[in-house]
Amino acid sequence: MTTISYPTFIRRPNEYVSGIWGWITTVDHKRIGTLYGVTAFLWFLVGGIEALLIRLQLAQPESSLLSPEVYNQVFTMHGTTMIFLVIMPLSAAFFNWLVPLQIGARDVAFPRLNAFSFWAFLFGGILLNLSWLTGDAPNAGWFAYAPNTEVPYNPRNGVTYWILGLQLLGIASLAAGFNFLTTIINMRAPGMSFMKMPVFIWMTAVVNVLIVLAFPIITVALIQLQFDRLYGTHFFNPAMGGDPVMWQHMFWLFGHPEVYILILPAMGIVSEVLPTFSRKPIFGYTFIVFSGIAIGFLGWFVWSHHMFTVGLGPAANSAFAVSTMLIAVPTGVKIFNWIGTLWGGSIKITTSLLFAVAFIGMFVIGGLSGVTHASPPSDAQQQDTYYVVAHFHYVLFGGSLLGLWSGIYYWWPKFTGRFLNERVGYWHFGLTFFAFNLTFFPMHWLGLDGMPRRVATYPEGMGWDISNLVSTIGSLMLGVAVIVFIYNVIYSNLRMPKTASNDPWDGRTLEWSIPSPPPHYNFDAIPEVKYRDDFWYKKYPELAHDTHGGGSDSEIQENHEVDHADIHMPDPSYYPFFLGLGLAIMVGGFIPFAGHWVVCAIGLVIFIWSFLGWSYEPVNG
Amino acid sequence: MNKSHKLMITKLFKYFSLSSLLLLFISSCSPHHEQSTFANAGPVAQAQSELFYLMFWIAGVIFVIVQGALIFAVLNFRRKEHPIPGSDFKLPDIPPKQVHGNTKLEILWTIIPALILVVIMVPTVQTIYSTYEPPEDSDPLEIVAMGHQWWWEFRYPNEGIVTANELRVPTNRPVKVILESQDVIHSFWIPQVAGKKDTVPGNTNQMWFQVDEPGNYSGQCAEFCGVAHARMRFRVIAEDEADFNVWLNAMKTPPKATASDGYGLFLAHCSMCHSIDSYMDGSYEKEITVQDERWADWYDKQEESVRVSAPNLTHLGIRTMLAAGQKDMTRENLIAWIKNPSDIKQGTRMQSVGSVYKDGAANLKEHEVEAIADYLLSQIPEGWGSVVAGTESLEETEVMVWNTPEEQGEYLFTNQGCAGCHSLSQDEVIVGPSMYGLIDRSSSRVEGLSAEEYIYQSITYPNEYIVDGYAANVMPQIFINLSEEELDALVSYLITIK
Amino acid sequence: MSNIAATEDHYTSTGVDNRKLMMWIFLGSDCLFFGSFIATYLVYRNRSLAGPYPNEILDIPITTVSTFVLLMSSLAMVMGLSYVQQGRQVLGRYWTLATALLGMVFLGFQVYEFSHFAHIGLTPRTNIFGTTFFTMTGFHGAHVTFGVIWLLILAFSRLASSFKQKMLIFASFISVIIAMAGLMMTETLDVIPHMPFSLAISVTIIGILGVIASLYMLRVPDTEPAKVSKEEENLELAGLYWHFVDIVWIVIFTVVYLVSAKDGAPLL
Repeated sequence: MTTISYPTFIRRPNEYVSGIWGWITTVDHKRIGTLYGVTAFLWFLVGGIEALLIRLQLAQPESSLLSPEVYNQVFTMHGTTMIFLVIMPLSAAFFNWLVPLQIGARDVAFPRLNAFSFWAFLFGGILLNLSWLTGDAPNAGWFAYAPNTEVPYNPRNGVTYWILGLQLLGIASLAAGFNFLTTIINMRAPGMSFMKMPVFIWMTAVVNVLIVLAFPIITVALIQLQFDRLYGTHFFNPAMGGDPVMWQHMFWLFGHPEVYILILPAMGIVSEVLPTFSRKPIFGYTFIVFSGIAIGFLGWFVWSHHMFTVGLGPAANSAFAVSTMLIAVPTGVKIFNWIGTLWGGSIKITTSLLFAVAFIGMFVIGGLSGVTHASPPSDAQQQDTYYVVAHFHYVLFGGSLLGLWSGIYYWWPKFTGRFLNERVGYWHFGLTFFAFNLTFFPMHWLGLDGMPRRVATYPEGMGWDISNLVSTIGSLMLGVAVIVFIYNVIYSNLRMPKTASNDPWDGRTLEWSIPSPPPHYNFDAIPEVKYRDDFWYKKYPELAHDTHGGGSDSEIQENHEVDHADIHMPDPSYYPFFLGLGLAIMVGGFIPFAGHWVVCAIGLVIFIWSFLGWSYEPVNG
Repeated sequence: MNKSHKLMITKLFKYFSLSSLLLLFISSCSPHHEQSTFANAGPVAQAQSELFYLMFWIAGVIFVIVQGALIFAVLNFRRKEHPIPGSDFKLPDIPPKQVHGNTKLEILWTIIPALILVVIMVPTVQTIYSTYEPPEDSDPLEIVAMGHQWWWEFRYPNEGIVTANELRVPTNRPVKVILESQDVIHSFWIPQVAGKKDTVPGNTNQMWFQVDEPGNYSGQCAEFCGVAHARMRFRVIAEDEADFNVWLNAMKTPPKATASDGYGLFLAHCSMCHSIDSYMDGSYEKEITVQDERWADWYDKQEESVRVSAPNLTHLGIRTMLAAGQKDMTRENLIAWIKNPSDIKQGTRMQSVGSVYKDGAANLKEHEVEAIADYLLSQIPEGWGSVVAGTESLEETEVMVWNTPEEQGEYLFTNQGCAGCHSLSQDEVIVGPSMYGLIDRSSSRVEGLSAEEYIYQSITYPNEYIVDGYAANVMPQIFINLSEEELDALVSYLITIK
Repeated sequence: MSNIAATEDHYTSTGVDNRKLMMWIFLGSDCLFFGSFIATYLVYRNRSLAGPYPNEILDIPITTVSTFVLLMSSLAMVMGLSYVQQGRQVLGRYWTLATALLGMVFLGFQVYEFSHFAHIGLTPRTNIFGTTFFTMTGFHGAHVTFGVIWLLILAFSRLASSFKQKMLIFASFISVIIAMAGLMMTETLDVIPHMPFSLAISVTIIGILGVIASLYMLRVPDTEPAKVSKEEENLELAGLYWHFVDIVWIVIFTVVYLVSAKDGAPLL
């Protein structure tokens, strides 16, 4: 074999490096998934502390625990953190772990790009939170409505940190989106046609289509805002003919698909958990899949329901009311089909199942309150009140987060080889469920009682005191619930033996056919797929005649002796880390502090160096 | 306690909390609170909450069905183990029937929600249109509501009235609101009367509302607009048509005898931003122009600016609240507000822009603050019936005797507010030009005007000749109200300053 | 021997190469990127409150020429890929180089246009037309620049087998940058005071000579038969990107120079 000498900068390690460098150089989807999960959980604690600060401030009227400026920073960062640094990367952790395992692949299509996504996400989050150290955290809300974000109204650097941090997170999400879509389309095990993919994979595919198409829009909007702030353009400056409503259109044209980016992964998880614990296939696979696609599609035509009070006129409001209500149809289908999955099943109650069931219940509440503000006249009373806060916490916490927790309890044995303690899990679930409702249910009537959102404090005698106090107590209990979860993780890792078998829950999908935790190369031999829920029918061939359109014969593949040395896995690499680091330093260098161009230049040098190093890296497969 | 016990407890817990919360929800939305969206006081809010009730009850039925089915399914289809009687062994679990779906059922539960949504959509679209324009056969009162950081300006274009933070409207007559903003996006919301609509800079919006019963209604900015967003409230005072007309006329009437001690202080320290004389003819147009200029001045110069758009204070004595709905209008509150506005509204531009607050709290002596407060509270239109707190502290102006016109001029210069903006020393510029050596400059300023004539002209019509480097419309044109004798005395004093 | 040994050169579910599939997904995403800029431009048409307005400033003939140049670069791209597919590596490389050079000519036109506009008083800060025009065409220019660099790397990288050749490639890149800098300097004569015209021109000429010299010294007489398919794949990816950037320009050209060329002061 002739080797051509490429100019390289750091020799590519040709096997796993140990210790911290092992994690930094890893390109293994499972380790990257773990990195995503752990990092997202740490940000979750940060966002949770911000949430508690908000609730403590609002516990009583005319409180002065936080100054209005600090309060604005805290609620801005709470929203931004929970959306971009918690729910999205937590979903990405599941994508990373499960996409190759469930489609029968050894890794994602572009392992180094995958690692880069993680590092860009991590450094983006750090850049965003660095703003705390300057005392000027972003203070304009996660929606950052212009012109409140323009320099005359917001001369300090907080919003610039927000723009650039989000830009980095956008790059990370886009890179991950390209990667997962390619993986799902191209790397399915032989025989796994699209309609045989697990529902979770389907939802992942829809989410990543949304990411790939929605993030460019926010990228452009952020560029425009950045140019307005730093270079004196006039995109959102009404004095020069710009239009602040244009920002809202672009933000919500991204922002509404983003809502589905946040909820669909949890829907995918629940669609895996329910069949397993009911020992029944998902009810109406085709309906579930197509309603997911329909949600992703319709999600593009509803963005102006965030803008019913902006004054788009009655015709536009009517049109967007109709399209918004339409989205309730596929959502309803999903809920009914989940209940149909449970119906007639043999349901094993586990923490994971309880979270999944609670997800359905809470999501129904969030969905129903959502319908009440899909109607513009009704929304005129609800927009920007605590009613809306209640609504989207029922969808994002009661929905996404409970769903993700269900997934954590469900796949933990697969990821680690150990179970999470079920007893502690019940406590965790019960406390979370109760405290969640205690925190967010009173907000419904706070909003209907006229309490606006994003107020740093409120006057006495408005009838809001008790509800706010109850809500604060609930939020503190939620904090305790999170501590119970942390205790469970620590306890399980120290005390629980590594007893998880390949298939502890009697699972249905391919990841349960391999050891827990899976070996580096995942599958000894890439499986041949015959059915939807292929692994289930390999275990129970007698049930196989029930499958839609499946043949009647099925056999468990013989595990041939496989020479693992023959499996070529991609080598670790230093460059994804440095590419992400260089990019973050370069982007951070746009923040106008003294000497920022020097920082930018240093970042550019690191970026180009690692880009070239990446391109020319020798491949020793 | 075994495992299944605990499970039952968890589930009961869940069931209990869900249903009790629902009950609480229904029972606690009592329509007595000040900003309750259920305490409807007009047809617009009525239509909006009717729509909400329709959806709420539909949603309630769906809620009960879905949660019931869910809880039933989980409780009923639990995995049963099959103990063999008289033995410790249990039969292994048998997989349930592998149902893959039921197309008819699924089509059914696709169509039914769609139909329910049609039921909601029809009244929705109807209400969208009916709450957009006032009824065609009505004669709406037109007002302009303008959002500012962080207060509300209300204009009555057809009546030529400008006021702030307190909107007076007649009952049983539609009010058409034109919504504008000078700075960022705000949202105009009177929960009991009508849902909100945003005020967007550069775009003009409209909405309408009507109040059925006289009374005070609480309003609030609903769109996050910066640091004092929570403090941006207002009050709607609805009166029957006759009372409202009394107010309209009063707003065009000069104030009755005013406490004059604070007048000069007001002119010196407050009048750059606050107008007080908008009862005069033509003052409506002027106020709009001046407000724009004040704002443009702040927008362009930011921290260097000494002006920013600010609430019109004409007839402040008859307002019931101060600082955009933060406090009742009492003498104590007003004094506290003037002394240190940030105590009441953190972030207010009054303190960050006003030159009198350069060092933090107001650079005024206690009695000066009181004088300003008394002056403001005495701004009550002639013939206005009510007595407002604070006005009783009015004192008779003592009669002054002067030996020379210059002496009188000096008194006027100090007490009518000139000294607030014009220094007497060579290098110091407070707001306007220094008066030092005025005689040397003024004789040559304008062709054909002597020094005295020029100074006289500049006092009475300040905008005619603006000195280079100073902005127009900063100095109030209010000194035209001084008597001829006082003006002469002022001029004769000013030319002596060297 | 590929980049991702475990996954590439292997079975894919669709039969399409992973990298090519990802390029298509990326281009779909990029459509939304440019779509947002173009939409902003269209929404903000006729909203400028101050001149210069499009009808006073746009020079359609000149931009038509630059558009033609960019279209021709797509033709060159097709030729390059075609030769590489036929196994005629050297010709393929020179056509690739031609594509990059035509792209650079297009960028030269854009630099000229931008600085010309700046001279007669249109900057991104002047009015909303300037704001939207410069950001939209600027980000397109950035895409072209990235494409040019990519094509140059493809045209040269396979030639770098010795230290001397690496240095020559490095020198040719530096020369390109010098030539571009010189070109920009000629356009900023009014803006930067005391900039002698001769200096700017000589910098440009030095840069161009540098490119020619390093290219001459780099010439490779023969093809290497191995790795042909790899080179073909790489070129095809770059080609997809390049054609996409071309198509985007055609849309921008239509929207700015044809549709809104007559836009003037807003009708109030």
